[in-house]
Amino acid sequence: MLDYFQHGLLLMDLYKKLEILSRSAKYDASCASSGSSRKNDLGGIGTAVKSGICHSWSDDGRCISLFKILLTNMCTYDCAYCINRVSNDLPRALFTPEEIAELTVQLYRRNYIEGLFLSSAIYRNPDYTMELIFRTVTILRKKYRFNGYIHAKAMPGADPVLIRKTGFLADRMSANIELPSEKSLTLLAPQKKKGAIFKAMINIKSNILDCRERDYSPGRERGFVPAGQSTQLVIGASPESDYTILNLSEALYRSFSLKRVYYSAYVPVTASDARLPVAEPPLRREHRLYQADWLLRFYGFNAGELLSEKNQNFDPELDPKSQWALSNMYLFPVEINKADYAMLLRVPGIGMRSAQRIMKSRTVRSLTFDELQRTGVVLKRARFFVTCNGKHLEKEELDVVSIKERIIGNHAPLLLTAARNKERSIGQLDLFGSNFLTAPEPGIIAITGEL
Amino acid sequence: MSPASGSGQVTYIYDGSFHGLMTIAYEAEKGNIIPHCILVMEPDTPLLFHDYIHVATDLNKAEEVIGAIKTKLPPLAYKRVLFCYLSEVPNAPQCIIDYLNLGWRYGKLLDHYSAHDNAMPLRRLAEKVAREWHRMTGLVRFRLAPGGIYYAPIEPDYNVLPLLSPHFAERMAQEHWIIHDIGRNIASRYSGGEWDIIDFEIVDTIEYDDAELACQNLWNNYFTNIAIGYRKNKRLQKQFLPRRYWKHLVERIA
Ligand code: SF4
Repeated sequence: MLDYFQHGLLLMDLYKKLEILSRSAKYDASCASSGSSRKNDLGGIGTAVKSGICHSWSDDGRCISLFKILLTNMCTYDCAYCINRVSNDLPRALFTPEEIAELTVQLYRRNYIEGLFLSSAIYRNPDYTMELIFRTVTILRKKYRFNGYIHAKAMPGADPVLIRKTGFLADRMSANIELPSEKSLTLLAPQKKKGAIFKAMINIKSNILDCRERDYSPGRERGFVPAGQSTQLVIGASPESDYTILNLSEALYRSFSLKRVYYSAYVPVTASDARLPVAEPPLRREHRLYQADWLLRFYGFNAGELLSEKNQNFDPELDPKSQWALSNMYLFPVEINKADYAMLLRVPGIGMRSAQRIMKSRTVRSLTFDELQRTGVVLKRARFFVTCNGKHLEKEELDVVSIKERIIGNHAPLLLTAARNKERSIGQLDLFGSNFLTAPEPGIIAITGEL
Repeated sequence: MSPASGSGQVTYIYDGSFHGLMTIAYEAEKGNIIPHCILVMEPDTPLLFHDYIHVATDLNKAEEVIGAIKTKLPPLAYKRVLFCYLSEVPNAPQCIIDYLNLGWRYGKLLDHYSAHDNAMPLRRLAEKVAREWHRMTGLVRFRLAPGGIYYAPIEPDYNVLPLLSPHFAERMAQEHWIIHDIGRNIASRYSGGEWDIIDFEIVDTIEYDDAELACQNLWNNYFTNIAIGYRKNKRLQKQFLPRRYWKHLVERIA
């Protein structure tokens, strides 16, 4: 029997533990339930839905889909940006794997949640923590025959075998990079090693590929992390520009075939550390990065088109696509009835779904502005960049500055974090059958993401 | 009242069932009738010089139409028609008939006409129903009631209960559960692999035991703690989770 059973903390009542450990878990943004589709098996509980399901929205407007919890917040590391760092004075608690499994099933049966998002501080050492995570997931899958969604953290530095075993039970795994450069990592999270994080990510990636290649045996019913892997970057705790961050994301998507990179605006957790900013969380910046990330994944852009050495940061006032279009006016206007799909996607105000509808509708007749609006195009933005049968919507020719003013003026007030939530809030509606295009993540193909 | 022939003002009355509506679609397709207005019940004050024709539900005719929708129209057409029907809004039957008329004309190419006046209203309604259905898959809250039955009250805008039931029948296959649409006085009840929809009303208040109440408290507690104070954004929360859905949740939103 493991010695933590004797730990005095075990006596702490469940409420108190839940309170402490949900508070400690809340800063992780990568909590989505999408990407897996699984039927219940006989005698089990639960299913997984490809598009993911939101079960509630907390007071910060973020979707609650998974039961997001830490096994423990007792950390041996001292990452400056994190409330759980060892030097912070904070109530500590520890769940047993059994407790988490039981809680998850209780919450799931009441349809409060879509599954479990299990993370942890580094308790003792990475191996020990990974072992606890593995045990929790095992109890859920084997004892409870739980078929709901499970996202488990891979602890950088942990035994690859443990990570591999966990991955065969989880839907998604993630190792968080957190800081966008090695320099910042060394400065703010001295015990974390870039090498160890990447090693964990490579480990997951090669297991995914391996599993795909071998077309795993029927006895092993769920494969290796069918919903892929993700990571999180903290925005604003360190000085990296949007350009650095976006380039990093692009490289991550390419080399680790990540499903998602999540961005989390740094929330000040300490007043007295000269290494960290004391500013408000950069929510707007986070929002722009999510929009740009979207452009990378679904709109055929690359990081170098959106930003450059000279222009390192997004305009807080303008969405990245409009910003790009305004600096490439020589490509516009685009004729709606002629432009190819890739170009339509690049027009501000045209999302994936509208672009697909335009392609479909114009095979039977050419579209007018009226009909264009009905496809869901946001004309307030698109009007400056398109023609319909050679006609312009703007009477006179406008210069870049006035177009920019008009676009900013037309924007609905920004309800930040909407981009992050988009995956789950409207991703599910496939009623309009826009699936003639293959997107990287099929579950979210119908997303409009009107950028 | 004798039919006011040639006036063109004819209202068709059917029993409100999906098959009933499909029977009207059948007659319309055969050119027997040109639906101008479709009602579920005879109005209290019938209009003068206006014909009311009862269309009796005919299962064979209805199934023929359903088969044709599934084979001759694009893959999602049937789903859209069904969803539109479940919206139960007064003009839904008309939207369906219009959409099908367009469909018989263009067949598999129907989706190219999504902006057409006869397609757009149906698509809009179907999308609303689909949206609420998906939303409700997350918002249903079961409470473990005496007798080991998981009970969930809901009050959706549209009749999404038939859509929700298969989802939970699979997910909660081992339990007994009841999802109760309070507004419509119907419920879906499930046990042992089967669900059906019945008329349903609750007379007494349900007494939940301490374990259930503890679980509800736990969830409420979690709900409060998981929000990041610095990012508080009630407007965004309300946009995703409109107030009318709060009533039957377990978490208490301030
Ligand atoms: S390892 Fe660092 S980031 Fe993770 S919980 Fe510990 S202090 Fe926080």
